[in-house]
Formats: sequence, C-alpha cells, structure tokens
Amino acid sequence: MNAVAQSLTPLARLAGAQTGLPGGHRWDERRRGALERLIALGLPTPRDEAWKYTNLRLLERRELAPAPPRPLPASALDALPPRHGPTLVFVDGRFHPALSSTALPAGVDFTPLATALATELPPALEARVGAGDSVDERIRLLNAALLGDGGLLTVAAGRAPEQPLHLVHVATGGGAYPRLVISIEAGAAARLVEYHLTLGDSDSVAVPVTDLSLGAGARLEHYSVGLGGARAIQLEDVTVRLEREADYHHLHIGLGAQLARLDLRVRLEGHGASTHLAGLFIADRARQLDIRTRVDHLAAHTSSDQVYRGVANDRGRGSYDGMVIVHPGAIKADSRQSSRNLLLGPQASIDSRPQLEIKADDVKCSHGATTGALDEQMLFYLLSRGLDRDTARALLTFAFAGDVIAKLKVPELRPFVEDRVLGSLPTAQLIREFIR
Amino acid sequence: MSSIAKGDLILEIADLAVEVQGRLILDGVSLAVRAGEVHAIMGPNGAGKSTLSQLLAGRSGYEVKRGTVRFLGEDLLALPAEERARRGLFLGFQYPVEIPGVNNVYLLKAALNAQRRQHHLPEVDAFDFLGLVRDKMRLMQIDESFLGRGVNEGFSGGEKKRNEILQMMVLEPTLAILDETDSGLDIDALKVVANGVNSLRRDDRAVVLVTHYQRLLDHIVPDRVHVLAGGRILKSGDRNLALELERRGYDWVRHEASAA
Amino acid sequence: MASKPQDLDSLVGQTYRHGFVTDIDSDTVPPGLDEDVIRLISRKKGEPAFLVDWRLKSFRHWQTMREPHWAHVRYPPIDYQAISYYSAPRASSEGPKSLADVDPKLLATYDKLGVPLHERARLAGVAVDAVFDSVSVATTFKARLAEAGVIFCPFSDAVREHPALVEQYLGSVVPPTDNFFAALNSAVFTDGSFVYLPKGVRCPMELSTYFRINAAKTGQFERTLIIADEGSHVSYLEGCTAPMRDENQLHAAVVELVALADANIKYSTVQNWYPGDEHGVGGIYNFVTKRGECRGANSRISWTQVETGSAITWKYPSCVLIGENSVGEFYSVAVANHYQQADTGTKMIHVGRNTRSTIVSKGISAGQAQNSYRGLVKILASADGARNYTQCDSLLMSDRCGAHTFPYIEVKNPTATVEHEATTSKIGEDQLFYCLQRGLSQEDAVNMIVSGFCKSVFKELPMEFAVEAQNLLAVSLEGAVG
Repeated sequence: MNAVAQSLTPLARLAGAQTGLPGGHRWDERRRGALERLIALGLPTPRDEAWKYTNLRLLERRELAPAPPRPLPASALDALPPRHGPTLVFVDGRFHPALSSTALPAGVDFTPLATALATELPPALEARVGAGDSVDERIRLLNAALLGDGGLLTVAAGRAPEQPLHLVHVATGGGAYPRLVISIEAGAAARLVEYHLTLGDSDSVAVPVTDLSLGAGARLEHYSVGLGGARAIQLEDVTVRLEREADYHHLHIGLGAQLARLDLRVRLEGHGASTHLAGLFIADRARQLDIRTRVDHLAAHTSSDQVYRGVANDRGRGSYDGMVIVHPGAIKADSRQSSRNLLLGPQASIDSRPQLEIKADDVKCSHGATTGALDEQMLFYLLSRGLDRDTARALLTFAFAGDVIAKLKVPELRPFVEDRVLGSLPTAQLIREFIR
Repeated sequence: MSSIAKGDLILEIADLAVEVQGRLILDGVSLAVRAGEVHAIMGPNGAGKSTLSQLLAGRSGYEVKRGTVRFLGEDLLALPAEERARRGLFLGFQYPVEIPGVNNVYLLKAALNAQRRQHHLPEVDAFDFLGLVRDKMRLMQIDESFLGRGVNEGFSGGEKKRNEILQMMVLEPTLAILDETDSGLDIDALKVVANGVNSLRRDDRAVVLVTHYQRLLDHIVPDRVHVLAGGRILKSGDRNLALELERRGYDWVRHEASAA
Repeated sequence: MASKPQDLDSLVGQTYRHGFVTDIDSDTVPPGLDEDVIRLISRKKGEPAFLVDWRLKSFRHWQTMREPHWAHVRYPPIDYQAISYYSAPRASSEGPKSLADVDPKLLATYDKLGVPLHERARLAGVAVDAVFDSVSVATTFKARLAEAGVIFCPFSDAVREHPALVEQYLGSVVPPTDNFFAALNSAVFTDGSFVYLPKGVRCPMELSTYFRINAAKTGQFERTLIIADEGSHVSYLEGCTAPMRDENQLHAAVVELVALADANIKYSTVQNWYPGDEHGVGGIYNFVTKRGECRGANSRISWTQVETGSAITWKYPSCVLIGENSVGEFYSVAVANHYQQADTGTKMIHVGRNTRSTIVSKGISAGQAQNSYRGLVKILASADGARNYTQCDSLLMSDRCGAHTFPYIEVKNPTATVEHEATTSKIGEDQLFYCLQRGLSQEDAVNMIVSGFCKSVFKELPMEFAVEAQNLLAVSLEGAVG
C-alpha cells in the first residue's frame, strides 16, 4: 500500500460513519460533499506551509468515526474548578442535557445543533454552519463531514449576563465533531469559558469548530483551557468576525493532550474593531502543542495584540505561527505580536513564526519573538539570594507563564490554572509556598 | 536679515480662524510682533496655543477658515514649512521627535546650509561649523557625546529641550516661537534654557514664548503678555499680567471677557 | 489648506543612470538550451572533462525540477529556450592578457559606470574583476595580489590554472541539486570570480567584481567561489548594472563561500540591476543563490547587501555555521519602488557549539512595490550555546505598496538563545515636519530619515562603497513619498 492510500484510508472509512447523523437528506448531501472534497485535498502534511510545524501522521492510526453514545460517569467533571454561572456540556461532540444547566440568564439563548438541523435554519445561519473548502480549512471540512451536533448560542443585543457561560467538552474515545455557532449581538457583553477534557487516557480525536460573530460594539472574553489526556488529539478551529467597535479577547491555556492544535482566525471587519489574543502552552512529556493565529485587519482604526508564551520540556514540541494581514485601506491599523518560548529539556523544541503582511501605509505593526533557556542573570540573582537552583528555575519558569496567567479575569479560573501549571513543572513542590 | 530695524513688523496675525478635523480651534486671533520684542502667549490647556505655533511653522492638517498671517511683509500661509524656516522662522517643539540614526550635527549643518543657500551665502566649512556648535553647546551645558548621537535619540525630556535651544542658537532665527519650552525642566535646566534665549535677544529679532506657567517669565522678561483662551486672545498687557494670572488663574480672564 | 506639504508624487520620474548600451561586437550563442549548447559553452572555455560532466549532470537534474513560486512574487513564465546562454565581447572572448588588451569601448563603459579599471584611478585601493555579459574582461592589481599569494581571477582562468581547487570546492556549498536556479546556473555558468586566500593571509586590498549585462536577450549566470583558508581574511564587493531594455532579463548567479578555521570573509553587494521603468516594464529577474559555510572553528562570514535594483529579487544569502564559535552575519537594505518585487532575507543554520548569528534587515517599500523579508534561523540539537539576534524593520512610503515579514525560527536546543524583533511603520510625519521646520527640503528630509533608518547596515559596508550605496538609495527613492 502506498503512502497516499494509507493517509486516505481513515478518511475513506468515514463514509460509513456518515449515515444516521441528524438533519436528514439535505445535510447528508452536504456531509458527503465535504468528505469528498476532503478526500480530494487529503489531510494536511508538513509540506503545506500552514501545517509546516504540525504532523498529523498520528491520525492515520486512529479511529476517526464519531464515538458511539455511552454513559458518562458522574465524576467526569470533578477535575474542573467550581463554576459560577450556567454550564453546557458536550460529550463526544453531542449536547448532554442531563449534566447541563437548564436555566440560562435572560437574553441568552441556546439550541442544540441536532435540534436545529431538523428545522429550516435562517439562510445566514445556515451559511455559517456550512463549511469552508479552501486548502487552509481542511479541519473545518473534516468537522463538516461529520457535523451532527453542537449548538447555536446567542447573547441578545445589549445584554450583559453577569456570570460567565461555561462550555465543557468531554471526549470519551473515538471522534468528536461539535460545531458551535455563537453570536454576541450588538452592544452585548459576555464571558465564555471552555474546557476540553478526555475521560481518562482514552484514544480520542476531537475536532471542535466554532464560528463566532460579534455585532457592533459587542464584547466577548473567551477563555479556553485544554486538559486532554495522554492519548488525546485535538484539532480546534475558531473563526471570529467583528463588526465596528467590537472587542474580542481570546485566552488559550494548553496543558494537555498528545497533540493539540488551535487554529484561530480573527477578522476585524468593522471600523475600530479590536482583538486581544493570548496563550500559554506547556508541552511536557511527548506532547505536541501548536497555536496558529491569523488576524485580518480589514477596516480602518482596527487593532490587535497577541501575547503567546510556550514552554517545552522533556521531548515536548510546540509552535506558534501567527499571521497578521493589514489589507489595503485599513489605515491606522495597530498590531503587536509577542511570542516568547522557553526550552527546558535537551530534546524539547519550539518553532516560532510571527508573520506580517502589510498592504496599507499608515500603520504601526511590530512583532517580537524569543526562544531560549531561562535567563542566566535572573537565575544568578536568585542563587545569590540563597535559593537553590531547582527552586530558582521553577520560580522563573512560573514567572514566565505569569504574563498570560495574569490575563485570566475569571476569579475561579486563575488558581485552577496556576495549580495545573505548577503541576506540570518538574520541581513544583519547591515553590508552592512562594506562590500562595 | 540685518536690514530689519527695531520696531519693524515681523509677524502680523489678523483675525485668524483655524479648524482641526472640523473643530474650530482658533477663532479670530490677532497679534502683531515687532523686532526687538519678546511676547508671551499664555493660556489654559486646550486654548489653541500649540495649534497656533504649529500652524505658524507650517504643519499640515489645519484648515484656515479666515484671516491672514504676514511674516516680514509676506503671506506666511502661502509658504511651505521649509521655506518659512529658511526665511528665519524657528519653532522650538513642545515634543521634539526622535530621528534614529540621523546624527545631531548632520541635521544642524544641513539646516544651517539650507538657510545660507537661501541668502546666497557660501556653505559653512565643516571645521568652522564644529567650532560654532561647540561654543553654543558649552553655553547650553550640553555634553560632548551629543555630537555623535542621533537626533533626540534616547534624550531625556530636558536634553531634548536644550537641544531645541541649541538649534535655535545656531540658526539665529528672526522669529523664534518656543512652544512650552519650559515644560518638564527642573530649575537649573530652566535657567540654562532662559540664558540661551536671552543671548538671542536683539533689536532685529523677536521671540514668542508659548507657555502655561509664568515661571519661565521670571527668567525671560517679556515685553507683552497675551492670554489665549477659547481660540481668542482675551487680554493683553505687560509682564504684570502674567503675575496677575499666576495669582488669580485663567478663569478670571474668562469671566472678565464674557462680562464685557 | 495653508501648509500641505508638496505633493511628492509629482517628484517621481527618476531615471536609471546606468541604462545605456555599449555598442560592441559580441560573440553570442543563439537562444536555446540543450546538452549541445552546454558542450559548446564548455568547449569555448576550454574546460576539463570533470567540469563538462558536472554541467551535464546539473542540466539533467534541472530538467526534472519545477520552478519555485513564492506567495508574494509574481512574474510571467520564463521561456528558458528564448535566452541566449553565452555572450562575450568578440575581441576578448579569449580573455585579455592585460589591461592594455581591453577594448577601449569597454574601458569607457566602466568609466561611465564609475568603476574605472585603470589601477591608479578612483578605486586605487580596490582590485576589480569586471564581468561583461558572460565573460570577465579585466582584472586589476593581479600582480600585487599574487605577491601576497592571493588568487583573484576570472572563474574561467581558475578552471585552467587551479583545476584542483575548483574541483574540490565547486558545488560543495551549493550543490547543483539545491534549487531550480542553482541547477540552471551549474549547467550554464559562464564566468565570475574566483578567490583563494592561503593560510594566514590577510588580503592587502578590497576585492571587487563588477557585473554588467549588456547584450539583449541574454541571461547572466555567473559563479563566484571564495575560499578562505585557515586564518585568512578577505573583504569582497560586487556591483551590478544593466542597460534599460523593455524585456526582462534573467540573472541567476551562484555564490559559494568557504571559511576554514579562524578565517574571515566579508561579502558586500551593491545590487543595482535595471529595475524596469515606472510602469513595471522590463528589468532584471535577479534569482540568486548565495551561501557560505563556516567550516572551521572561530570562522566568520558576513553578508552585507544593498539591494536597490532588479524587477524581481529573490535571494537569501545564508550561513551554515559548522565550526565551533563561528559567526554568521547578514546586514541588508532592500529598496523596492514602482513595480519592483523584492523577496530577500537569509538563513542561519546553527550546527556547531557556541555559534552566533546576527541579522539586521531594513526594507523600504514605495510606489506599488512588494518587499518581503523571509528568513530562517535554525538551531540544530547539536548547537549548544548558539545565539541569534534578528532585527527586521520595514518602512512604508506609499499606500499602494506592501511590506511583509516572514521569519521562521526553529529551535531544537535548550541552551540556545534566539531573539527576533520586527517593526513596520510609515515614514514618520513628525520626523519629516521636524526636518522641514529646520529648513530642509522634502527630498533631503526623506533621504536623511531613510539613511538614518539604514545606518546600522551602511556602517557595515567598506568605506569606499558606503557613500555610493547612500547615493543609490537617494536615487532609488526620488519622489517616493506620496
């Protein structure tokens, strides 16, 4: 069997998994179309510029078909911090009402996608549920090929729910393909906290796709915490469109999974729209954690800033690949990217690619990237104050992650993430007393 | 330049109204500055002081709605910025910009030679020029290392202001407009700057000081003081007006003006 | 409006100063490329068998390759059969024996270009090898260099006189299979410069090659090979010009540098090939492969380039840092105006321990030009203690141009330190106004600010050429601020 046929096999097998998904004939057609296009394009390989640093060979040996419905132990969510505010739970991509809150705050509306697919969707919404088909969007195609559930979430114009909304994704083994379509309408403000978990060390492949839109003047703080197990694969795709003066914050914490990649695309379509993206990944053991962002400045006076921190230890690998495009006419665009990476283990590696494409003249854009070990001068300073080397290293590593952790504005989330970050450091026990 | 005699009209602003991005900032300013005089234009924040300075120096982005400005008898507003500078109008910037990689001395020499070409004078010889600059630097207490640095690159606020006065002393303008030159200076630096300005006072030149506070005027004594507020000159007087302003604040002038 | 700065678009209209054609009788091979043409070139040059075989092998490999396409570089397909692969001024096709044998028309050409070939003229401290179309027409100061033991000669001479050195090093840094244009060059290269510095020799003067494309419908495929043996030092500069022609001409050179232990090579380029006119018609396609290997400990290779010409530039002078403590440097100013496309940058491959590299890139985009920095910093697992610092700035001078920055940073060693900084901004309105207020003209102000922006690169150029580079920059940007 040649290499091409091998890489197509798991995809080709998916045709069988497409039967019986919700939505009837019309959606069956679309799912078939998406799979055909995907098979024609093939899964991405490192030869594709956009996938230079992510190798998907792991997928070839995995079962991609959606996981069968199975009972979820009540303890499944125990690992999560307390949640103040409503929670919506998705198990293997399917909405799970039993574990979800029944009451949502006024102005917040949720419909499971499986329910929505059975009805006639408004054309604009239907278009958003449909998939892109460019080479760059193959992960969306994979999701579209197995689209069956997820949800439509709306925060109505002018509403600002006090508590954050929580979305919990649990993968139990096999494929999960949730599709979320989220609208924050004009003038609304919301906070969204997403957790991605796996049940134990199950072999799971989660491909969550989220389509977000922010109306004029809307604001969303979006937090996403990846806690997948040692054999979890997660390929997440988030696309965000902003109308004028809208403001979108995305903060990604990547602490788990065997292979996790986030593709985050933000389109600043309206005058004065702004976005703040940040992320921290800790690629320890043999994890591969990749972040790819693309920000399009399409209107005047738009601004974006990105702060990404990566740590790789043991045989961990990580990458940050960030593209900022300032389109013609997007004058007074302001863009900053900062990518700093810390290598702790002799076999660890990190690739970084902060890119700028500028097609307008009156702009201010900058990026900075560093990769290296802990700063020797800082280390020396701590040693000279009497700390031992392991403690000093752990302290500095934790401080390195601090830039991003400080941006966690949901009170219960911050100690939880701090704790997890500490837990991933080799000598964490030495410094807990310093932190608390 | 030397044909100017004490009392000749150097700057004459008549009923000047100026808009910035559709907002009326100056609304009927009139002012006459004669050779040998030092004028102080005072006023609260947002009065239009910096707009006036920048407009006179030829910055773009200002729309003149009405009025005229004559400099040495010519229509100043018709001249591009560099032409105004070469004819002897100097602006000391409130926030002098940094120009990385461009040597201070190089800029100064290029500026001086541009002016000399205008007056059909030979370009200054590099050696003589350096001597001239060193003399003025001593007066301004500017360190020798300044010569090799980029224009305002990495300068402190005080260093930037002293550099502005140094440039003024080298270029010897007929009319110097100093925009908030005193802001951000400690008392020693203020004296150095004042000495520099005073050394330039002559019968064939004039100085316009734009300032928020009267403390600079303790060191550079003005002949005339004007209060600019709400886009107009509300009151003019001699140096005592500045002292009175210090005591009674700007609201006093505003009330008096609205009562009138 | 009272004080709008002069509309600078009206100042556009700079003409290329080196755009004249020298009317000289040439021996030109008809357009087209096959194995016979390659054998013909090789025969004309009297090459040994190993080289003919090497060329043919390269050609066969080239035929299996596909032309590369980059995201921000666009040009119509090149018809490789429409190019003539060999053109030489007839009188000197055998190579002149001394300056006295050189056709006076050629001497006049180089005078006009500001590169007089008389040894007592302006560039008195610089040895010049002048390459006209496909062949070297004159090399100055040969005798003085020979005294020091330095070999500096046309590549064709080196093939005849130092075949062992050529065979040992040719293609050892840039193998013929490296890329499409390197393979083409390996098959058809005609001349170029060869430099060898023996152990411990510090070259007594700057070496320089001046490349000139004159004949129509020809390509230039020169090959430069510089070998610095242990402890030697050399500074080498190349300059390039071409006549103004409506068609695009291909220039696909290969430059290989080898630095052995403690050797130091400084390679500077002032590239001013004809860029095409203000409507984007004509100009040189400059597709060049330049690479140096620091093979020995403590060796250093430094690339400095000022790129103002060519319709399209595609080049990434690179360093492979193998020897312990070896150093690679890349200093670049790339200017693109009108419809020029510049895609340039560097690769720093860190293999050895404690290797260091520095990258300073200044891109200036004007008119409707596209200017991209593309760079790779790769730290291999073996490169303990490696360091890189990259500073990459872009200046935008019009609202129709593009400035792009594509750095690749790949680190596989935890003891390495890599820092990258980049900025992109419009030429400062405040800075311009400040200079105008001091009486400078708009053009002087722009030149001053731009050369300030480029200063950290210009200071790396040999003194003789720093001034030339600065003037070139001013000419290239005349009227560019709009």
